[in-house]
Amino acid sequence: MLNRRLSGSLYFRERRTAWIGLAIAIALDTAAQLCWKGATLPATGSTNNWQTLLITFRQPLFHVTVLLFILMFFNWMIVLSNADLSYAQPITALSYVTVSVGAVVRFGENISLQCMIGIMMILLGVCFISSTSHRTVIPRTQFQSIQRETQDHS
Amino acid sequence: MTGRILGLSFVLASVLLEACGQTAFKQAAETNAAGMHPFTLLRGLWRNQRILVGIGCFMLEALLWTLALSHLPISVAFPAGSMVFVFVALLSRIFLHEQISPSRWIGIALILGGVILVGS
Repeated sequence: MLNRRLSGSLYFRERRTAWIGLAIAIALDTAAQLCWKGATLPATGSTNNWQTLLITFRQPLFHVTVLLFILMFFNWMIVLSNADLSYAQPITALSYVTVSVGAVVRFGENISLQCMIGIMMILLGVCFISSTSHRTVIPRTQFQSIQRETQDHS
Repeated sequence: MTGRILGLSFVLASVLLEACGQTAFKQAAETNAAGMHPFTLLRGLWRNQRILVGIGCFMLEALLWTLALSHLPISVAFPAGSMVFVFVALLSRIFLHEQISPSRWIGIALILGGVILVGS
């Protein structure tokens, strides 16, 4: 509320940047999770954890996973500089739904009725969290930029 | 069944590391002024030591998550990993002083309930 009063345009610009970043994060996360699972498939049935890791790390799909995570890191830092961690992080739960759908399509895994109810509860929870303000703490550096912007407008 | 318990233990460990890593990343992001050009923002981040702490947490998490995925189907492992939302909210409140409104707590509770349904 404080920042909305100080600078309406910054508030909505920030919120928009955060949501674009979140959409990209969800897409990249879905792709990364599916690639990662795909990379572990050749190690299925392996009883030794180290062997599992070594087999997985040699898979080209694992290298794609690493690349996706590097992209996710840069994107995520932009999201975090525009929104609360406790706001942005829960919204990424939307990738849960996309990963489950992907798991059914790509790996033929089954989803029970109980799982579906769980998915619905998670989605409802995401709705509740996204209804709150995207920022409750103003970092000092941003407070200075808001002050500058307010002075420019006055 | 023991494979599932082992897998969920790996998930729990990686979830704790994830919450710590996210908090470190957020602290790093806070030191940059909002509204900056994304590339300027990213250049500034490399001079921030919190980034290294975060990356360390995530690399260790990656090892544990790989093991978790090899023991569990992804449609069980991924929702079980949603426990991270509770830990992230607690660390955000304690270390980042974010205000978690009742709506956010209700949202987190719903997510947790969903996770239990999916994981059992």
